Amino acid sequence: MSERFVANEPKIVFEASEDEVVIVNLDTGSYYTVDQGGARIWSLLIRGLRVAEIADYFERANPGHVPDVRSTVAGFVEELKAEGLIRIATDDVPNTMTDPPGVAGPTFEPPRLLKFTDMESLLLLDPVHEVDESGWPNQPRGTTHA
Amino acid sequence: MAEPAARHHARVGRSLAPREPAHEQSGPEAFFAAVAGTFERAVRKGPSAETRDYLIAHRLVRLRFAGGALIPIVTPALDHLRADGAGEPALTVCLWDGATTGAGMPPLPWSTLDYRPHGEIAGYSTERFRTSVNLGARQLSAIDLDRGLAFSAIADPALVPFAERGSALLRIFHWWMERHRRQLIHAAAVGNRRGGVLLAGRGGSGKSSTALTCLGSELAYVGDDYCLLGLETEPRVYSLFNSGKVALEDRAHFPALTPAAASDGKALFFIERLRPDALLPECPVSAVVLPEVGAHARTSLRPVSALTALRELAPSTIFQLSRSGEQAFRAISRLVKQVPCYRLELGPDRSSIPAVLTGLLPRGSA
Repeated sequence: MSERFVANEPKIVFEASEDEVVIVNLDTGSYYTVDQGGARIWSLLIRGLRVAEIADYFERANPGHVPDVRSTVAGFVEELKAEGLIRIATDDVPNTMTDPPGVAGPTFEPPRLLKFTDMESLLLLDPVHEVDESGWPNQPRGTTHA
Repeated sequence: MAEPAARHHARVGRSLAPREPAHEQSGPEAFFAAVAGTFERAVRKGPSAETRDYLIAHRLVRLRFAGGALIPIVTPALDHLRADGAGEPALTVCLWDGATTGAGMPPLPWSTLDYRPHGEIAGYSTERFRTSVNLGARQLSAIDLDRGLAFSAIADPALVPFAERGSALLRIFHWWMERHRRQLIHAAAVGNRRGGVLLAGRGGSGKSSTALTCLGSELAYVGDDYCLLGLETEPRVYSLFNSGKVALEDRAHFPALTPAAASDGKALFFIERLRPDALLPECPVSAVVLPEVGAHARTSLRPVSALTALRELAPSTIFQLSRSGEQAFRAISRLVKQVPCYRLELGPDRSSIPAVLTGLLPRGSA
């Protein structure tokens, strides 16, 4: 995976701290939290680092102590991509992380992305099968009113 | 918010052929003019017309009713903000029902394919205009944000959903307030003039019962379910509705409160009728509190991160309201970073709730 990525705005909105990221997908109604391990990867990713560069960073910071860094980072980035939370950068995104990152922190922990879907139903359409002569939709069956 | 048309129409489940427009006029401006014309017919044909003014978050809003049938349905939740004779309104909302005025409903010129989440209409919801239809209730909401003029029409007053009896004109208020530095948020609020707490969480988290439990304490009631957040430098919450709702199984906890109505498993109260002295129109926000019903031995507070509060407050606000999205997220993000956030672990003794929350407020005379 040699691409650089950006947050998939404006379809998503996010807020990140050192310990956590909250991401809301405005299209689907899903929202996510990323734990501390994931927040470190996220902060590097959206600063323009490639997957290999992120893995290199953690391996350098934790020599001989972290197994499977590359595959873990790559798997996490794939998960973010599959959920539509990041997209491949089409412009030349500069790598803004030339020095060891203070924000990300050097410790590598396996990242975790939690997905919440309890709001998705609010975006579902009521069925509109037929309309009357003035254009008003016929009332869906089973609709109850006070 | 982007409109994922293909995905949503796939969920409709049937092939929907576009239909011809119901009349020659099309486009949001022409449609809005047609709606205005229908309202004026309702005024002429209806038995009476009445105007009421309300001061909502320092903005004067006028409701013009064609006929009286909607007045007892729409106004009780707003009565605590009544401000007749306070000047010229910034927003005028014209309301009518088709059944009692005899004016009918305006023809809808769009296709079945144009419906979007929350009943918004593609092409008729623009920077200037917002248009939505509540399909089940046969209810139209439309606003011209540049003119500060809105219409709310329903085929029959009997169709007004129970949920809207406590939060009338929610969409219109949301559309307009967002343009005027007020963000509608899905939260309850209690406090005093020096400070208050926002109670956030999903349905069933205990925010409504926590807010109602504070009635009779030194904490006043700002609102339940929906409040307005001021987007100025210092966070401030404004009352919108004086209603409160609790699940019917929790009614026994509030023997002094007589419900105005009950339906959908919930009892609806109007605090203006029951405890008008306990209402507070606005206060600074001192903390965001996330109630949690559980097996807690006693009611206590536990600090949580700003992002934990964001996760609880932002999605339910964003997805309950149309075209909310980024602006709401940013407003709530800013809020949770400005004030401390807590989990309120609710114990069996509800009487201790007000004292626990009061401990979060600035000390001094209220």
